[in-house]
Order: sequence, then C-alpha cells, then structure tokens
Amino acid sequence: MKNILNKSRYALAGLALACCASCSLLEPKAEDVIFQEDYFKTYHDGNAALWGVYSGLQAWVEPMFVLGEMRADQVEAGPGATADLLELAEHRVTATNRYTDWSPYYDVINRANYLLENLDKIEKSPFFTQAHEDQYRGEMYFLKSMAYFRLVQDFGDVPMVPQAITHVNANTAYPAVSQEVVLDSIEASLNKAALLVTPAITELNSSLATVTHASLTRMRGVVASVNALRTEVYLYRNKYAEANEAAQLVYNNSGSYALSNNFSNGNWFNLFKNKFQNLESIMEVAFTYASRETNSLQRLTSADAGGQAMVLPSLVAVNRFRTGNTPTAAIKRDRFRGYGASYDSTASHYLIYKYTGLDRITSPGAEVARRKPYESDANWYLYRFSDVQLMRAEALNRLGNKSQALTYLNAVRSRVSLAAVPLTAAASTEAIEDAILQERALELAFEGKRWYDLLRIARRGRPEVLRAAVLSRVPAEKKAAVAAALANPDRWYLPYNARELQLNPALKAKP
Amino acid sequence: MKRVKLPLLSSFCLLLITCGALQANAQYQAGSAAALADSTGSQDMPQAGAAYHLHYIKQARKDALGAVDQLSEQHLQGQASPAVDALLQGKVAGLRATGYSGAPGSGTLIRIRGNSTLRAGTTPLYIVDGIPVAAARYQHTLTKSADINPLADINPEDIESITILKDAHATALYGARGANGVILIKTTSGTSGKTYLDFTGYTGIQQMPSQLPVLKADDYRAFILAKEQSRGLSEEQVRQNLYPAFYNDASHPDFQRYNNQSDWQDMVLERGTVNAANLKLKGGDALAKYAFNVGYIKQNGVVTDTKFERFNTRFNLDYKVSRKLRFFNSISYTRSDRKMQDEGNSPNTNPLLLATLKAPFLASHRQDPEGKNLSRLDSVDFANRSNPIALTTRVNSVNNTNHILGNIYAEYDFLPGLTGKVSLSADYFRLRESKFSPSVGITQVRNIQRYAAENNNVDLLAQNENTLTYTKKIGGVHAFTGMAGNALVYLDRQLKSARSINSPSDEFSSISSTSAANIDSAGSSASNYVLASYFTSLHYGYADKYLLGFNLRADGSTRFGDNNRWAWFPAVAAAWRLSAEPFLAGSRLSELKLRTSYGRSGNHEIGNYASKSAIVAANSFNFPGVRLGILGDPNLKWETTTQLDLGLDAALGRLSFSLDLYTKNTRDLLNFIYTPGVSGFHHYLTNSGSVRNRGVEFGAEGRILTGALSWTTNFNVAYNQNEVTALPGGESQVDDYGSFQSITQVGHAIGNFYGYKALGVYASDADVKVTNAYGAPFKGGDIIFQDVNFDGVIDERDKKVIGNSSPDVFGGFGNTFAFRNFDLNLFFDFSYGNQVYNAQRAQLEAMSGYDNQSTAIQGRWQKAGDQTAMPRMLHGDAVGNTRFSSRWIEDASYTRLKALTLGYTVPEGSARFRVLQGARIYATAQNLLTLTGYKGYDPEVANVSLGHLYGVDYGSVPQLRSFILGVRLAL
Repeated sequence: MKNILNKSRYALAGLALACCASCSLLEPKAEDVIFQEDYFKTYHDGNAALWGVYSGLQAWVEPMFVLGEMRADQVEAGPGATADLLELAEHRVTATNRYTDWSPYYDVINRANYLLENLDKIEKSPFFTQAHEDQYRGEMYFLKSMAYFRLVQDFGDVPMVPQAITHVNANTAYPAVSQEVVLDSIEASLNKAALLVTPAITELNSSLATVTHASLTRMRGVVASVNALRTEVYLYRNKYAEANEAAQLVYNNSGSYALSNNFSNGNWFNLFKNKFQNLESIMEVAFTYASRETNSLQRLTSADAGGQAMVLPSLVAVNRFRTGNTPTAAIKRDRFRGYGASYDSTASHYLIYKYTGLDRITSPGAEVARRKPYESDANWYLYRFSDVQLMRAEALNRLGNKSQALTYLNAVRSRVSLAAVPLTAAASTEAIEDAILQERALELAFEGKRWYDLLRIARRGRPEVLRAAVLSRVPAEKKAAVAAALANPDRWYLPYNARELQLNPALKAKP
Repeated sequence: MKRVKLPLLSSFCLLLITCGALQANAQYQAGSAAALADSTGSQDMPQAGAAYHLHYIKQARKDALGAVDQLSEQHLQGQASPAVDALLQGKVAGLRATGYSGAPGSGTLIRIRGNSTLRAGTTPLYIVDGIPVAAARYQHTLTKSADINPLADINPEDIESITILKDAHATALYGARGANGVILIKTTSGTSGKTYLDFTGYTGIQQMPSQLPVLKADDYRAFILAKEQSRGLSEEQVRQNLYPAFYNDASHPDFQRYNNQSDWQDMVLERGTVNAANLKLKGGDALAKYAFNVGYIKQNGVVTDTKFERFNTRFNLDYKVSRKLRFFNSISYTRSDRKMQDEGNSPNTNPLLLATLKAPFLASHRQDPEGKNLSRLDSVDFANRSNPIALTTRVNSVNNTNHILGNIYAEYDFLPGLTGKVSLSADYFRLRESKFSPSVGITQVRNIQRYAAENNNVDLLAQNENTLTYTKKIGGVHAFTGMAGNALVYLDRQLKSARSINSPSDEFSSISSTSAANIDSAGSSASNYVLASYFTSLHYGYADKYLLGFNLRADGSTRFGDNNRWAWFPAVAAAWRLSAEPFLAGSRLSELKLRTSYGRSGNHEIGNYASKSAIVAANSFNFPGVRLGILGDPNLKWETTTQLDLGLDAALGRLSFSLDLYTKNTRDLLNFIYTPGVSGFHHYLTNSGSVRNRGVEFGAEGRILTGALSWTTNFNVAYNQNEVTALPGGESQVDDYGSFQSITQVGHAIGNFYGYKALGVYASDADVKVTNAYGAPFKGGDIIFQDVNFDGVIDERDKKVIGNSSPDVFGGFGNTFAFRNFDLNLFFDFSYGNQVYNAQRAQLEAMSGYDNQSTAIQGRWQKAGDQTAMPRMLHGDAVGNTRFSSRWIEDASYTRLKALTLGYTVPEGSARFRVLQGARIYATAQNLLTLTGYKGYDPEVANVSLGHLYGVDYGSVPQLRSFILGVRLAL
C-alpha cells in the first residue's frame, strides 16, 4: 500500500513530463516535404526558391505559343486540333476554353511575391550578400512584370495580387484593374528591376572566386532581358522614345549580345539546335528531358508518335517564306529560315519544325536528327536579339528615324543572305512598319509573337492590319464571322475563364 | 522513433497514477472477474454465457450494449477461402463485402453501414490481437488496378473469432479510427491440459463461370468490311487501307497471319488450382498455453500464369508468471508471393479485356507457310492492339510481401478485480513489386519499347497501449466495470521506386540492365504520423436487467491541424433486458433485450501532412528549385460521425432475432475547396460537407429441426440509404473519370453515375426530333437520348443520375443440415439495387473501331424501320452513340449460391481411426450458381482504384467457380 502511494508520487512527476512530451510529440514531423515555417534560412533555400519561380515559366510556354499563334495568320488548326484551338482560330472563344486559364501567370506572380516577402530571412553570407538580395529582388519584379504584361495583352483589365497567398484564409477575391493602371505598375516595377539586376549572373564557386555563368545569364532576369521586356512594354504603349532607350540598354552589353555574323551559311537554325549558346539569345525558358522537364510543343506541332498535329503552319506562312516579303518585288525565297528550319513538309501536311528538329533539313528526304517523340525539351525564346532589334526599328520608324530603322531591319535580313527590302527613308511610316512586321513574321515564326505584333499595330490605330492578316488565313465560309468579331476591339482580348468567375466573386464577367 | 520513448514513460506514469487513485478508494471484495471468464467456445447459437472478444475488455453477450456481431471458428475455418475479408461476405448484417477480383490474392471491398466519406479512407479498422494492421491499399501499384490485399497475409485457419463493431458506442472506443467500423480478429490461443495436433488441407480446381460471346473470325471480317464500306470506302480501298491479306488470297505472304480462328478468351485462360495445408499444434498446462500454426497455400489463377502463394507461421504463448502476473506473446510471419496481370481500363495490358477485343482472325504466333506456329510471337496488330499471349507469357509482374506481426503484453492483478495491462506491438509490412513489360507484341506507350520497374514499400507500425480495468459487483446486483487507458501509435511509411526503359532486348528485364541514361524515373517518399490517445469505458449493470455504458476516447494526432490537435469521441449506451424481469419469467422468450446507443466516432484518413503548408520541389532545367506547393488548413481535422442505434435482441424457443435501426450523420467531410487562378493555387483540403446513412439490419438464427436430422439456418439482411446533406457552397460536384462521370449532389447518394439516359434506337430518320450539340446530327439507327430539359438539344444539361454502385439491400442466407455424420451446408449471398457501368460491353458494342465485338451486334439497326435496341454501326462514332449513358449501366443485382458443402465426420472412437481424435472430409462447390441479369462476366464488381464508384467493370476477373475437396485430421 505504502509502496504504491510512493510510486504515485513519481507518477505525478511523470504526468507533467507526459504532458510536455505529448505536446511536441503531436507536432507533425516532415520527411519528404518541408513545412513552410521551416524554410528560408540559408543561401541554398533562397537559391532554390528562386529557381522555383523560374520553373513556373515552363507552364507559360503552351499558352504563349497557342495564344500568340492560333489567333493570328501563321498557323491553322491541324487534324488533331481540339475544340479549344478551333475556338481561338475562329475568334469565338468561350469562357470554358482552357486557354483562358490564366493561372500559370498568377502562379509565377505568387511564387515571386512569396520569395520577395521572405528574402530578408535569408542569412547573409559571401554567397548571399546584399547585392545578391538586390539582384533577386530585381528578378522578381521583372518576372511579375512579365506575367502581368502577358495577362494585359491577353485579357485587357486583370486583377493585381499585391501579396503572396500563403494560407487558406488569405483573400483571393481580387477585382480586375484597368489595363492602363496595370501597365503603369508594370513600368514602375520594371524601372526598379532595371536598377537592381546585374548584366550577368555571377556566383561564388567553392574557392570563393566569382564565376560568370553564360547560360544562367540567358535563363534569368539580367539587364538585357529586363530591357527587352521594357522595350516591348513601351512599344505596346506607343512610347517610342522610351522603347528606343530601353533597347539601347540591351545593345550596351554588346560583348554579350549581338546579331550573329555567322548565319549566312544556314547556321541560323543553330538558334534552335543549341541551348543558350548563341550571342543572339537573350532569355530562354529552359527544358531538359534529362530531368523530365518537357513541354507540349511537340505534342502540339508534330505528327509523329509523340505528336497530334494540332497546330500546323498555314499556307500564308509557308508562302511568306517561299515568295519573299512583298508581292511587288520578287525576292528569292527565304532559304535559311523557311523550309527545313521553321517548317517541314510531309506528303499530307506542313509541320512546324522549330521544336522537333535537331538540325536543319538541307534537302527533302535527307536524314536529320530530330528529337525523340517523347523528349519534347526544346527551349522557348522569350527574347532574342533580332526580336529586340526589330522592335527598336519599329520605335525608330515611329520616331521618324526611318533610315536607321531600315538599317536595323536590313541587318536582320542580310545575316540570312536576304537582300535589303526595296524601301528607302522616303517611304511612308506605314510601309516601313509593314516591312518590319513582315520581317518579324519570318524571323520569329511560330514563336508566339505574331498575334501580339498584330495587336500592337492594331492598337496603334491600324486595326485593318490585324484584320487583313487574320482573314488571309481564315477559310472563305468563316471570313464573315471572323471579320465581325475582329471589328470589335474588345474581342481582341479573351473572356474571363468561367471557373475563375465562379471562384473569384470580385471578378465580374466582361459585358 | 526516438520520441516514442517519452510517451511510453508517460503511459506507465498514467497507469501508476490511476492505479494509486483507485487503490485509495478500493474496497477489498471478492472479484467478479470470474463473471467475465473465458468463453467455453462459440456455438452456432448465441449463449448467455458466451463472450465477445472485444479488444479492451471481454464482455458477456448478454451484457452487450451495441450492435456487435461475432463470427466464430465454425464460420471461419474449413471454408477453403484464402483470405479473411472474403469470409465476411454475407455473414454480417450491414457489412457489404464485394470482391475486387477473382485473381489470386485479391481482396474484398468492405463497407460497414454504407459510405460515410467522400475523400478520406473507407477501409474499416482491422485489429488483430490488439494490433491495428495494414489494410488500406497502396495506390499506384505497378500492376494496374490489381488488388494487392494486405489482409491476404492473415491465414483464416489461424482465427478463432472475428468481431464486427458497428454502432457508435462500440466504435467510439476507437475514436478517430472508428467511423468506418471496426473488425476485431482474435487468433487461436493455446489450451491447457490436452495437446492437439490438427492438420487441415484442401485441394481444388477453379474455373471462369462463363465467357463472353464475341464474333468469330468470319463474322468479324464481315463486320469490319461492312463498317468500312458504310463510311463510303469501296472494297478495293478497304483492301488497300487495311491489309491485302484481309481477304482469302492464299498467295499473299501474310495469308497465314490473317486467317486463323482464335478464341482469345480460351487462349488467355486456363484451369485454376488451389492447394492448401495447415498444421496447428495447441497445448499447454496450467501455467503456459501455446498455439503454433504453420500454413501454406498456393493458388493458380484462371488467367494464364497468375498465382498467389502464401507461407505463414504463428506462435501464440500465454504464460502465467505468478498468481498475479501473466504474459501473452504472439508473433506471426507471413510471406506472400503474387504474379499478376493488369486489370481495369487497360485494353492493351488487361488480358481478359484484350482477349474480347482482339481480332479473332489473328494468331498468337507467326506461322510458317504450312500454318504451324513458329516460336516468334505475333507483333502488335493493325488496330494497334497488343498480342494477349505476349501479356500472359512475357510480361512479368510479380510482387511479394513480408508481414510480421508481433505483440507482447503483461497483465497484473493489483487487487482482486483490478487488473493493469501493458502491451507493446508492431506491424511490419513490406511490399516489393517488380514488373517487366517487353517490347514484343505489346503496344507501346509514348514510344517506350520496354520497361522494367521496381517499387519497395515499407510500413512500420508500433503501438503501446496501457489499460487498467476494474470490475466489481456490489450486493450481488450492482455490476460495475471500468477501464481507463492510453495508447500511442506510430506509423512510418517509406516508398522507393525506380523505372528504366528501353533495355537492349527483351532478355534484359531488370532495372539495372540498361544504361543510366535510361533510368526513366527514380523516386522515394517518406511519411509518418503519431496518434496519442486516452480512453475510458464504464459499464454498469443492475441485476442483469438494466445496463448502462459510457465510452470516451480522446485522440491527438500529428495529422490534425494546429488548431484542432485533439478530438473527443464520447458515446453512451443503455439496454433493458426485459427477459430478466419477473413479468416475463417463465415466458418462452428466453431473451428479450432493447438496446440504444448514441455517440461519435471519427475518420482520420485525411493524409499525413494535409494540414500543413508545404514547400515542394519545382526544378528548373535541373537546378534544384522549390515553391510553396501545398496550402494546408491549420483547422483541418478528422471527419466526425454521430450515430444513433436502436436495437432489439430476442430469443424465442429455437429462434433468435436481432434488429437494428441506425442513423449515422457524418460531418466535416474531407473535401477540396477550389481557389481561383489568381491565388496561384488550385485547391486546398478542408473539412466541409456532410452525409447521412440510415438503415435497418435484421438477423435471425434458428434451429428448425433438432434430432437425427437437424437443420439450422441463419439469415441476415440490411437496407442502407445514403444521402449527401451538405456540400461546400451547396453546389454539386461533378467528377470526370475520362470515360465516365459521377455527380455528388445534396439530397442524393454518394457515387452516382452521371450521364445521358438512353431510351432506345430511332427506327428511322423521321423519328429524330432533337439536335445533337456534340457531333453529327442524329439519324435513324442512332440512340435516342432523353431530352431531359425539353429544349430540343441533347447537350450537357441533359445529363442525369443513371446509377449507383452501392446496393440498397444485401445480405446472406445459410442452412446447415446434419444427418448422422453427414452435414450439408448451403450458403447464399445477395445484393439488390446496385448498378454497374459495364465498360467492357461499352467497347464490345461500340461498332466504331477495329475491336472485336459482341455477338449481340448482329441484331443491330440496319435499315429504316428496324425495331431494335442495338444502334447502327458507325465508324468513328461521330454521333456519340457510345457516349457514357444508361446504355452501359446495368442492374447488377444478384443472388448467388456462394458455397455448397457436403461433409462427413468420422465417428470418434471408430476402430479404424484409433490414432485420430477426429476426422472430417468435405467437398465444397463455390459460386456454383448466380441468378442475375448482368451481362458481363460477374455482377460482383469492385474497382480498387475508385473509392465510391467501385461498380465499374473493365472485364475484371470474376469470382471463380471452385470445386474443392478438404480434410481435417485431429491427432
């Protein structure tokens, strides 16, 4: 009896212990996930979070390609096209169309916000100095700006999400903000980014020496990529002087970026054969089959076992390569960028070749290296030098410096052994603009740029250019309906997605 | 594991405290533990002295408060069934058991009192000798949709009893794990005095009950030709498009290849066999009792070269150290090996589905000009279908489990009536899977010619449980039992997987036989959880007439959100034994009891980390990257089921009855909340929504005849009605499974099939009154889909509920006749009111592609005016006649003669068998007769990867017809 009572005293002490033990015992212990509260401590945490934001860009590639091409004139729906693709091609997009899902862009915005809000928690070290923090911050501003710019071009007015969504009770009901307000904010954010980012990505190696990574520089936000985006944003807003200045900042890194002088013998395809290796590359979304990071470009564009021939080059695009750029002056065909580089032809179809080929096709039937059907890991260009140069030409033309505009335009052509366009500085602004637009169609075919080029020109007071281009590809029986749709500038933008309208009460459907 | 030590210590502490407290108040009294003594062995009829083998306390049946069913040895042993879960079919009112597949080693879907969850686990809690054992299935097994049943590791011959807990009072004691019901399994323990050596064994054959009638080669050829011509091709074009050898041109080099008469079903099937042997040694003395059991079973499936093989051994030891201290040990080891084939929606790798779709004029092997088979298998055919024989002879899809259950516990009598118990137990379960899919004859997916894959899954569960039980009877009328305890469960799960592709040839079949670059994927995952619990159970009985019970469990779990760490599950129960009242004394009612119980239990199968926001991998160009990938709800918690049970037990002469009414409301359903795209997330998990199950259960047992010819019968039936009572936002949820859809709506049952209603076939074009929103216009010979909203257009808005997988009424019916030493047992089970989506028939009557078709298509619509239920053939089906509709939903009600057994028991002491203490031989026929209108292989359909829509039939292996001879010898 006494013995037991004695024991119970120990037990009382034990109970107190038990309570504490239970408390920590019932804290979940992570094994293969990391809890939010345990993250953001060292340089490695920050670096991985940074790459995590960039990985979000991979999901942009399909909407960028589809929305940038399907609505314009360079492609048409192939035999495998889905109903959603047909809606885009015929400009009758409904709210249930999967390409109206904007979540890939907001995903990146949220990831970027999340990193921005946690950057100050990362312990400073020689690997992560204030300069690194600034660089990261600049990159996040840049990525957010790019996401909002994509959204604005696709949807017009869009919601802005000021902070990271990090818990289930966070507000997710955001109303759409006017397009001009969003664009102002993009400009401001890019101005900050331009001051924070560095010309090249450097890191400390194990012996604490600074190493420059040429390929990382072409995957991340640096001076050149930030200013390429600034050029495009200013051009979209018809701020030609600012666009020209921003483009100049890309040129200032001339050691790292320039038009290649090595393309005249057909090496232009090297842009698609090699990743990051080219002087003309500014920023690429990177894929690699080695880690099974693949995209849907082959599924969309190829007709072999890995593809469904959903998006094919239109006859308009093929003829553009075949006959040169103006109907008046027969210029020899675009040998190095046309057949065998931008497109391929089979017995039944033309096919987009940029994402399946690993080498230029020099003659029909020749054996060339191609990606395996399931290894769809072609990189995706966000910006390359010729793109910036043609944007700059466009700005200069509008600023009245037509001769410099033509010089830039013809430099792009001569590097692929094409003659200068038959225009002089005496030509009209519109004629030169058309020539630049035409060159962009050839140079940047199937890279998701075409619709946005047409949209930009249309917004500039020339909607007939957009209308004529799209209608040139639309079959006769659909022309009337498409023309009617394009007559309404509101229809140049997509409707809000039905799921989004249902889940975001602050978002009101477009009239 | 390091942290387990502290709570263990705390458990002891609690034990001692409670002990001390009781010590202070306890009066020394002669204990009434004897009232709860061992049962004297179960009988067919419930007996007043019989006891339920509950986990925490032993309880006399007459004292039972809740809806509890117990199956005794007689129901379990000598049934020639390899798995314990299959034995439950039709035996317990309110427990619906549906076999996943007739493939060897497959298990059974068990639902107790309906379905009470949308996204959390549905498996009941299985407890073997106090150890919660692995029962939930692994998702994503290498053999697709095949069931690797962890319960198959338990040998039914080891089992003494199975107790099923259904009501709130009984399940509340299992807290957050109890809502799906609890199944307690007690294995055979030793005996004192006599030593027994029992041998049991059986051998038998197993067959497919039927094959599906499909077109023969000539009819198939005619069908393909007619279909191709119907799309406007000339015979010459068909010849060119398909293969020249399509026709009887004997001079063509491919003539042999396309001119065969293959009965593919026959070719992939063979006669199954089953052989089992079991040796049991039981014995002991007053101090120590032991039971040692060794079992072996091998089953060859009906699909060629599939098998299940199990070796198991178990040793149970009860040991009395002193008058007050007793130890109980049990340890069991099981090794199971399986060779399996894909099931489910895999037309190119599920042999039974493929066999019905494969063109019958092709052959398994290439042939020489004389038509003799060469050794080379035929390749993938013109319709891109695999060669079924390549599947059954070249695919190697094997797995094995190592399963160790260990348990040790000590009981100490502090005082008379006051017993403490400390137990430590562990369940180690390892599943290793390995698969090789060769190149030859198998349709490639994503250009992967061949692949080898390995999965290794290890679960370790450790448990400490401590209880203190006090039993006391005061004044001969006040019977009191109290129990308090605590428990700690730790589960660790490790998964590793690797897959390599395109090894040099089909001879290189392991993951290491390719270059490192061809390692397609390698992965691992690890997770754990801790469940800490305190519980108590109080029983009070007055004069064996009035019974009261109170159970309470508090569960704390790492799975629950920070704001909901502890869950409380109280329950009360009361019973009134009218038969013990004086006014019923002497009546023929030997037992009449009214019961009621009310309380809560929970479901904690909500994922291990779902309450936590987590950082997940997001690599970019192979640079290690992360993102905030999961939004966790810190309020996440268990699902709570509140149940009210009203019951009546009665025994009248040779009959006894049991009736239960229940209503079960489950709230806080684990559910997705979808977030808008601007959030950067798609959804998160939270608790929202509720569902109600209401039902009636009735069971009866009777000794109709006694004497030289005896007849005992038992019958059970249950009716369950399931209704969703709330969903997030009040909306309905449509889930898309590719070829079919389901809908969850307030006011309707969970798991409703959602599609078009097919009303028949248009006799002619003139009959068509509606337009088709998706596809070509309807014409004569097309399906008449119901225009539900009368808008003249058949579109999304015309979809409706067209079926449900769960039966309304189900049960079982058993009869045993005995005459002298012969006994005859007939056991039926039945299920009514459930529907199955016959997805195999949807392909066999599609008439749109190159697959072989059912003979039923010969009655198809061919010309205007034809009155038929079979639509026209239509290449490519631009109209959508094959869309998911009630055309493919079938009533899968059935009544089945599950087992017919004739046995002969050798009379004891007969001179010839003097060495034997007893012997019995028997012959059993299983699944001999099934009454059903279902058109597939078998109306008993459950799909392992679909929780609520389990009635989806892609040609799964049916419950086999078996003929078995068995023997039991006692030495």
